[in-house]
Amino acid sequence: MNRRHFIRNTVPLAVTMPGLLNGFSFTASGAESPLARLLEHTLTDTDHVFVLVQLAGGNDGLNMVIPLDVYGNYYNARTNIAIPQSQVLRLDGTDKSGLHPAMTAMQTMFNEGKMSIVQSVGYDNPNFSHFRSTDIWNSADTRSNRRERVKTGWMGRYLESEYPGYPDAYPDSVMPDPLAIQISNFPTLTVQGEIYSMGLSITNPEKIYSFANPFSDYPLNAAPANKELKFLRVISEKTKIYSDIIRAAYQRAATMAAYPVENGLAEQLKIVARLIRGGLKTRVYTVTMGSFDTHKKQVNASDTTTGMHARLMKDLSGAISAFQDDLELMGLDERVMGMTFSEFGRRIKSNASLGTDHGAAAPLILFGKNAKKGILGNSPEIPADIQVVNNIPFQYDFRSVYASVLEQWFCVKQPALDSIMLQHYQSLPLVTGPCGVPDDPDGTNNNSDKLILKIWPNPYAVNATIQFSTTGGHTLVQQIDALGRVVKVLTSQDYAAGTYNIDIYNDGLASGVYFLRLQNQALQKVISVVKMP
Amino acid sequence: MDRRDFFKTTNRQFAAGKTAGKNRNQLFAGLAPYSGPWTLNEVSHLLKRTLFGARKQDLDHFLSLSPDAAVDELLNTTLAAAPPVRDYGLLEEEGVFYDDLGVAIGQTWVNDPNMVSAPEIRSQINGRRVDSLKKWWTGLILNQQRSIQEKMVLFWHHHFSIQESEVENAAFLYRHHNLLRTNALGNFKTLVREVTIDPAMLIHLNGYLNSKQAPDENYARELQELFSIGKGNDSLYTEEDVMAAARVLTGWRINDNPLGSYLDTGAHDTGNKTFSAFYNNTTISGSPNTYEELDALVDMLFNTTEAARFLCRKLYKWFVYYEISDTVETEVIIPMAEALKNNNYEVKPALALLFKSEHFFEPLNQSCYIKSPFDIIAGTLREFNVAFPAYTDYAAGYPLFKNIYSRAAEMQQQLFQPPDVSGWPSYYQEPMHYELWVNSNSLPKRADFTDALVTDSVIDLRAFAAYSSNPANPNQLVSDITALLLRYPLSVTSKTYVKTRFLTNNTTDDAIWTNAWNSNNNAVIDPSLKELFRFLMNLPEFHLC
Repeated sequence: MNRRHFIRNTVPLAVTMPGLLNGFSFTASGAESPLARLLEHTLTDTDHVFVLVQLAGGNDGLNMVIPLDVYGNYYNARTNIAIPQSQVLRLDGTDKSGLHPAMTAMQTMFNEGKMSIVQSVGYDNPNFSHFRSTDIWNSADTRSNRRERVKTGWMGRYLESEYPGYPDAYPDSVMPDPLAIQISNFPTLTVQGEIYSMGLSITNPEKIYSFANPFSDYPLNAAPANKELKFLRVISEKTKIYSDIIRAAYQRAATMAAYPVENGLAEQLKIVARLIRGGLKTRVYTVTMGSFDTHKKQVNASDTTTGMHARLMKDLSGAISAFQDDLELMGLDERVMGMTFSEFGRRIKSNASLGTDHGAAAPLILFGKNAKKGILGNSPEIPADIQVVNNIPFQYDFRSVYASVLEQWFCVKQPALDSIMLQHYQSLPLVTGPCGVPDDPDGTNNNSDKLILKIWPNPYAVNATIQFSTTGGHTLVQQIDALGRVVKVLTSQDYAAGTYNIDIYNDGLASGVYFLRLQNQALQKVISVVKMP
Repeated sequence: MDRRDFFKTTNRQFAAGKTAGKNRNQLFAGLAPYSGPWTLNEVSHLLKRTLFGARKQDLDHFLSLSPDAAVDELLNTTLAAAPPVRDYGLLEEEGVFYDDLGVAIGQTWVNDPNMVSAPEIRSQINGRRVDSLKKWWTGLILNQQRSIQEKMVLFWHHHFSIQESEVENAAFLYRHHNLLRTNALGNFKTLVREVTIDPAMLIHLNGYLNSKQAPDENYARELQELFSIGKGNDSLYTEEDVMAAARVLTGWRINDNPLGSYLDTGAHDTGNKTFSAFYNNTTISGSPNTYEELDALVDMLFNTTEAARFLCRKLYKWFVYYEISDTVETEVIIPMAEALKNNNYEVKPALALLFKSEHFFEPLNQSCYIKSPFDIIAGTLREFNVAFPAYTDYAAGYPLFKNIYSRAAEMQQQLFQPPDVSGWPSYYQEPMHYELWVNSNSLPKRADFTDALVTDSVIDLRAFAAYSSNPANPNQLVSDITALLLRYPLSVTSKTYVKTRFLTNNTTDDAIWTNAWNSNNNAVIDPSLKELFRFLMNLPEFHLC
């Protein structure tokens, strides 16, 4: 077996070996070696576009998607900022959750089947630093040891696997356009490749660069200088080509929908729509919206449906909805979908300054005609006896969302998928059909209610028994603490369909509130449990 | 045989190791003193590598000196900078205005622990102080003297690579920065010792969490790998050495007010620490005395031959070129490292040896350096002799300086925020090194900057043209300004192209420009020069120095 196959074949093993889910059983450098990917490279034929909407600062997901089925505990945890139950926007087909009252445009999108929500997306060792957690979301690597973790972005790894040798060998007839475009001044880690960024960042698509490159001689006979000059000439030429391509595409198309004014996100998405309409084959766009770090005054005391967070929700909802309208008018809605994400959600319990501090898991939104309608997952567990430290435990690993997007929207196959994602993640039903991934009939996760996950006694002190059922295949049971960190993996292996018990005795955990999380294929369930002193 | 082939041949001979003795120095310019011509070409090479940009008056000044005297002046000129000051007024928080009660506007905050203002405003105060620190530093870069100091300060920042996002404290950042600044041309060993117990570094690499009960190896590892020994072929320290060094450094803690660090003997591991054969099986005896083990550790690190070589390789990549061939290792790095070690790690003698050498001025080492964002921004502004407010002028200067460092950040060089603990990849990342500065994303940012200098009339093009010995002669003008602005020379054909396109209206009639210049015809001169300079600074050649 050659090395490449060895690496590839090793990857899926990781998920069947207990304890390895949180670590990385194989070397990341092997898995992400550009050579390994290059050797197996076959370009996927797709005209799909994915738009990443970053909500920088940590969006308060609990006030964006409000849990109606546990409204009492929600209200109790944040009385000074809670959205009144009567004003929560209702969503067709569910009475579990609704949207922030400022999100009427997205309410319509949801009811028309153009948007879905994934509940409680996060990861196993939540980091509460903006910088670090942003890097984690962009790289899809949660390892705390910086020596082990990758320096590439998840979309960068995807694009590099599709277009090996970028930028040297590009543009070419297969990919005549930039691989990714970021509407911002700063290139983000999301699209970072092994050495190069796979993206161009632009702020003004119409800017004309006069990258003069008229000379082709090398009057200096010194080899290093000529090497560097040659490099600069190539980059200069490519940059001119790409800026001309972007400008031409932008000018070929006109905005067709009405976008909200004084809305920075809308301005960025307006450019994205024009560039797609203008014919760019670019697969990934990133846009950013800031000011989500709402430690204080996220609502007005007089009316919690107004204030800073309400404005953010209105802008987000209005911008994405206008973008969707624009795409429909342009006839592009089959080709484009997108996703919001934020480095973390916020604390369940509000603080005294009408705000919320850094938290853990939060809902994210997928939008576009092909986003599978509905809400994936259950309302978050909110303890009745809320403490400041309580965080929302994650139901879905954000990397499962990424992996599912790559699998179901860009049709990435195994083993490339695990290689890009650095290990195997469960597939979630997020996208309707284009890649031929079989539709999961339990897609909206309603069946997860039928999964058994119990613990008795609860509260427990020394002895307890956990019972869980599985539909077969890989099954994972984790114990998560109040901060949202996975503190124990109780099982992680393949099972035949059935119901199983795990006895625990003297587990060494401190007393307090915990959660058990069961994950079986695309299903999961989270219950709360209390450990007594 | 053209010169390129000539150099290839000589290099091949060395690689084979067949030639020996005197011949080597004739073929390969090692650290033997430079004795060649001293013209604009050599002076410009020296200044563009050691300063941010070479101004005309500086070129003229150093042309009047000998090469030796020129290097000595660059190495011996230092400025003891006055600290950064508060440049912000009242700060708003939830509709309420607060004052920074710790210091008055125009006064320095560096010794104020930010503990007297209202708690709700302290974090904003800290943020403003960090901003003022970056503005002040940028002001020092723009207003640099005829000294290598600012390039060395940035080098040490690259070397120790502290990040604002980790440290999150203005006073700590300043103290760290001041350490680098005051020792920029001082002693490498002293610097490593001081940085090891520097509060900002104790936070940055978790030293303050390192205890006997729970040793944290983070700093001990980087101390060896990134700060003193490196990962060269002859660097053979072990994992056990990392653990032993971590134990030596257990117990160092931070004191906020007055800012400093101390050894908490309760958290310090007083057991003996034994190191590998790489460190001659050194044993550092456990001691409760504050500096005893620290000093023993630093002595041990600097008793190796690797420490000096490691730093010299880094300096070489920072100042000369990123490829270190076997010949360069043998003929340049090793003797330079010997000078460093023999002078008890004073950096000046080693730098003097390098900058006064045949090797440094060798044509192969000229114009092969891709400018960093600060070279592009500060260097270009300085070459056009833009007048800046003094670095101490917080009212007029600081806002401008902020604009400058923000531009550099857009081009991927952010002060107090190198991408990670190993500094800027342009100086270590194989195989691209400097080339990493320039890509389809950053090149437009560089062009936006130089375009703006021209179109917004930030720079005085007429004054720059007047540097020419005969600006009325379009051939002389193009020849002179390209010699000042570009290190990579344009061919005769290329110069003719430039002249014809921008100065003689696409004709061969030189009189068109001569008449315009002599009659001071602004309608012709100004647009011509604008187009000409915009063009020159968009050339790939412009990014080399």
